Amino acid sequence: MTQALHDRLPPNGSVREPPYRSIMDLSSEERAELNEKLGGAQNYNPVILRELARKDRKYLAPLIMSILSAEFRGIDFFGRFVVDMQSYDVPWHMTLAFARQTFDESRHTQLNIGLLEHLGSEVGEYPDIILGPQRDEIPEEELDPAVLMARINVALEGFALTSFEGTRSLAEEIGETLIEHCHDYNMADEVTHVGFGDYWLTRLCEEQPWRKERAQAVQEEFDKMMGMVRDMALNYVGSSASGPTNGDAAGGNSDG
Amino acid sequence: MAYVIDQSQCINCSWCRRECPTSTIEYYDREERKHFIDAEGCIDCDICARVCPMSCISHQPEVLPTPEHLKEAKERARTWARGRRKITLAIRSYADREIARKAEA
Repeated sequence: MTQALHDRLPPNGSVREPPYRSIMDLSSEERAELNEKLGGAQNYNPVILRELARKDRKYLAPLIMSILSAEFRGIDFFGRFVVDMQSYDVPWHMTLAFARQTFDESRHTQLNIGLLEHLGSEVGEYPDIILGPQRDEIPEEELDPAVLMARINVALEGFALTSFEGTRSLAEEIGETLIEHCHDYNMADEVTHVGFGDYWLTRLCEEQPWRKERAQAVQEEFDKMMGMVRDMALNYVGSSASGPTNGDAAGGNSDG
Repeated sequence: MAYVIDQSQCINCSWCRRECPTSTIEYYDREERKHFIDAEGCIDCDICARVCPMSCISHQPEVLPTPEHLKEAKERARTWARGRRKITLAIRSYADREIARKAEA
């Protein structure tokens, strides 16, 4: 039997340059700089940034960086998924699908880096903004391929459709044709990612029914998390509005 | 009349569910791990069909909610629309204030 990829590859020593810098770990100087640029760290939230960018183009760069952070994370996650999943005896075509997705995430990263430069910014000017644990912090039992696909491919990538559409429609509205084009392109990829994630999740659930229940629970957990993002944004804007319960405002498609 | 999801085409992206003003779209059907529209809550608004990236939601004139359920669903939709508009206006108003504050500074 062929030796698993993760046993054949040397330990991954590659790092991002400039290094990963979470908004949660900023120094007081960095926080002050962010406050100066955005009027407060609380505004470094895609829901708020989209509205700010609607009125002032300078908020587009932090908005793109907030998306780019997730794309970097996607490369890390799906790249490791390709290697790690060999331990779980999944179909080879599923592994290939994730290799393709890793390539897509890399391309999204390139597009968004290009957009940052188009907007006069660069990676590192704004911190990374992401929700949820890092890949290394995910408990072993959560690494089951069906659970990961339910959470990442179906729930998160499905949500990303709304988010990309929110950014694309904003770009269209304010005449940022380059951003509109790139995010339309990214959204098309996301549809593919959700589609094959769902396909392989169905296949895995057919083999082991417990995965179906777990996949549903993961979806519900994700919805709750997105509801929290929406509530955070609403708290910041000082609204006591009792909004829709299906997490839509967090997606940025709040134009009705 | 109501809308129906072709479950053989649905990829479970949940976009329709997030947009549904009456929260009548469920993630799981009873048998299939697919999205499902409960016709009793559907008000024929067409929003789900317009956002579906797979174009797999269609209008089915023969599927009818009861008048009582339709009335309840319309009331839910009104509440949803009010809430959504309130949120949108709150965020926009906040953005206006923030930009004005930055300009003054």
